[in-house]
Amino acid sequence: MERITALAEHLSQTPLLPVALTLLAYQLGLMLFQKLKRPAWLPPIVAGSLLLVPMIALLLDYATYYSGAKWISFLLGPATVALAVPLFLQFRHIRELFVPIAVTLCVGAPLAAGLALGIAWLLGADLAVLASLAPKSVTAPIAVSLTEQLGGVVPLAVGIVALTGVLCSLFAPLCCRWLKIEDERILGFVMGLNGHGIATARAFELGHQAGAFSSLAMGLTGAFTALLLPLAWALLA
Amino acid sequence: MIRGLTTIMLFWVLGESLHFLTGLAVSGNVLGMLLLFAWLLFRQRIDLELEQASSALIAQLSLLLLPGGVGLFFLGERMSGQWLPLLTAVIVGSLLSTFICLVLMKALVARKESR
Repeated sequence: MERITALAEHLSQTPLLPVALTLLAYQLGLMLFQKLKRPAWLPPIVAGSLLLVPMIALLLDYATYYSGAKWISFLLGPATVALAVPLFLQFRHIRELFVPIAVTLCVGAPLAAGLALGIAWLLGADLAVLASLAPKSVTAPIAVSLTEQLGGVVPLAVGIVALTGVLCSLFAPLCCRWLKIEDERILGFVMGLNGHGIATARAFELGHQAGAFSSLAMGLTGAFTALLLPLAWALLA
Repeated sequence: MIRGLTTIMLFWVLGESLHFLTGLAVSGNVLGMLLLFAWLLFRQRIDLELEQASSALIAQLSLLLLPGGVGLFFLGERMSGQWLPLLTAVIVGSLLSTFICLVLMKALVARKESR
């Protein structure tokens, strides 16, 4: 028994256990996601988190886990830089619908952040919660940087971003039916603007053109918000 | 693949340096993304290696976010009294902004195509 307690201690001294558990939970989450026939309400990150929670609670504590798992989250840096590539590849689509895209982006991106901030503020959310909420429609790697800059709580921001993505991927197709929108480009662009990567993955399942426009919108919204949100925040604060 | 990753890392270093030297209110990795995007627009082509490295990283985004995301379940006391305003804001805000964007873009596309 003593040896077993010592073993848990030994394994948590290096990043080995946190990294291995993260990979394991992710694999199991992915299997669950496939098994349930890829439901929009349970993206792999949510499934993986739910499986990872009991593992951490049993074997480690969150602080130990997080410092070891930095080996994985470090790669969010290059993954953010890598977003330039899909943005470049989809950029030619901007010429097809330049004015609608530019206007929807300039109105929609501030609206996505502003509406949620306004509601949360009216209902009495505190400043750190607001700072975690502001980048809710931005792709998660950029949202993590933004929330750190504004003084938010990173895990909260990641959770909010994931929930926003799920809601938009469920809601946008329903609204399109109701508004009688058949143009995949509109559906895709609005999904990517509001629901970033999670909605973009969904948009690609709905149609190639919807996916391409969603991917474009995700890149544009990410860049637009990353440039303007810190300025807007400084002015408001 | 590795050559693509090297390019990405170098652009990150460039972005981080720019952030540090100018004190711009945009983080280094985002600046790196914008610089790489500008470079690609300028060259108007992209190497296969860079495309591969980039899609490999992006395909695993959920995994990379897992360590941060799971912290949501360990916030504890920190969030007392905050869940209601937060969830209301995310749900109502997302639904409204999705709806408004759809109406707006539908009108803009219709206007463009009627001309």
